[in-house]
Amino acid sequence: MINKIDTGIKSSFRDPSGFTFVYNGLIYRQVNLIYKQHYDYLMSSGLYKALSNSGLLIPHSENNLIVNEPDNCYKTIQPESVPFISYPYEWSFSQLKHAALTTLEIQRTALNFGMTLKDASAYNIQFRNGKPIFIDTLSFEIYKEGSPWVAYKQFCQHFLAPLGLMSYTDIRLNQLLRIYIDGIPLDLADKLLPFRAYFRFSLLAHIYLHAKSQKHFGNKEVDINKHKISRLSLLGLIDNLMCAVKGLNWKPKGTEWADYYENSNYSEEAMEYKKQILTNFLDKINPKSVWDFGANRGMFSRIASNRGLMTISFDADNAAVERNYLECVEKSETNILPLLLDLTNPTSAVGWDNEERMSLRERGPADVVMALALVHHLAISNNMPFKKLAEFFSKYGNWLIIEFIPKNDSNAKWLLKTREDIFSDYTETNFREEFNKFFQIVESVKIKDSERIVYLMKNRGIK
Amino acid sequence: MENFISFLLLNGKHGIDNIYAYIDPGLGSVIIQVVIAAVLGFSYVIKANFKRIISFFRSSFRK
Repeated sequence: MINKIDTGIKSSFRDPSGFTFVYNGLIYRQVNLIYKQHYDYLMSSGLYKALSNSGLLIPHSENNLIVNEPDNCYKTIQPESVPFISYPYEWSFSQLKHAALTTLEIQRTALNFGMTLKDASAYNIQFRNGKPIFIDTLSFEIYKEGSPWVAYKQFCQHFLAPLGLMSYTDIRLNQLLRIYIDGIPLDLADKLLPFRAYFRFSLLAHIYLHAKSQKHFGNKEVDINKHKISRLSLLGLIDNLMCAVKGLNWKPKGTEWADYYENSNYSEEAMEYKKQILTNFLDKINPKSVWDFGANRGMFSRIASNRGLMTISFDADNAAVERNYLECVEKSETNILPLLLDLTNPTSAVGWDNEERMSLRERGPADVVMALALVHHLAISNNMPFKKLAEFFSKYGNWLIIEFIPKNDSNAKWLLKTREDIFSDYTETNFREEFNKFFQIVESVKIKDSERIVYLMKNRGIK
Repeated sequence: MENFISFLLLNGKHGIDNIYAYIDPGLGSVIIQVVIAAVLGFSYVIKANFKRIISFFRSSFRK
């Protein structure tokens, strides 16, 4: 038996039922003695089988040879791996919506098997094979007739409030989840929601009245332990929350970026040629993981993902990420994960001691980073010098496929239309010189019928 | 208000003290949950048994 492994995962400490840790590059979860009764019931009641068979709960195997804290350990389980950890503030509207419905479906199934979810954190959901999946095996406890759902408040804060705000107020309010680690406070959601939102009973009840009740009973002493709620009423509550979530919608309207491909200055031939260049480069380096920065709706990400490569398709535009995700759902794609990311302010580490939720960089590096039709936006629109860009990309990928767009390109000209051209350094020579400090330039190919050049570069940091 | 809530909250042995809860469910959240669930429980029964209720009335009228 191997014991005393002190490599606990920084996000796993709130629930005394157990914790996750890493050993030899694999993730394990210790089930503490205190959780024995609930774990045994989860496994023997048929709930685990029902949820894992339907793809709602991460499957695991028991591995009692590895023990982290022997005095406290009942069992050690090894969950199947999730290729990339993402967070709710990186999800599009439908990703958060599907995560919410998965949580509610699990709670409904759990109640039918005599268990209940003791938390409803959005961080318990990850995307695997294109679908949301619940990853916290220790979130279940034996249901006692009469008990309310302890995670009701958390569900409203983590899911209903942000979805309501994204749907009724502004899609960008999902970024409040970055600030409020335990979900958006309901009094704040109430202030930000427009009056018309409360014509919907579910938002009136679960947000407005909920927030008022929190305020009203905030400093009152009521012995709630004497009272109970029937199982049927609880199922009614879950059913209503499901209807509430299903009824919230957001249409990705034609933003500048969501319609980018339609407005692109590429000819059909140039576009096809660019795809061929990308295919050749990927063949040459044979990567396992791909991060596509500025992926838009994921046209070029799919060159990688359709070859079986796990591809994270990042973009800063909510509409583009939403349309990318909906395409994944429609085509049942399993190797691509669209995520929201502002490259000029990449996801930072947040939570307790700034370690609870990982920064983007902590989740890398990827085998290859793609930055296609992106450099001119960062350099001209965001005043990022080539040196900074080269340094940045070198921290995220072992290989880099990057497109250089000269100033005489119509898109670059358009970016300079409303501002003074202070970018005398924006030349291909300077681009090569600065990137050469961090990368070895392996190959460069000019795109036919265009002035653009695609580079394949190898990070000099690789040994 | 408290009287109305007491009407909806049925007395019993099992409250949140029986739950091994590591998160704070929040007093105001539990109270509003019980109130909303009491209302929704009734409509849920009708919704879940809608076909059965309809067929019951149909068979009653046929007689």
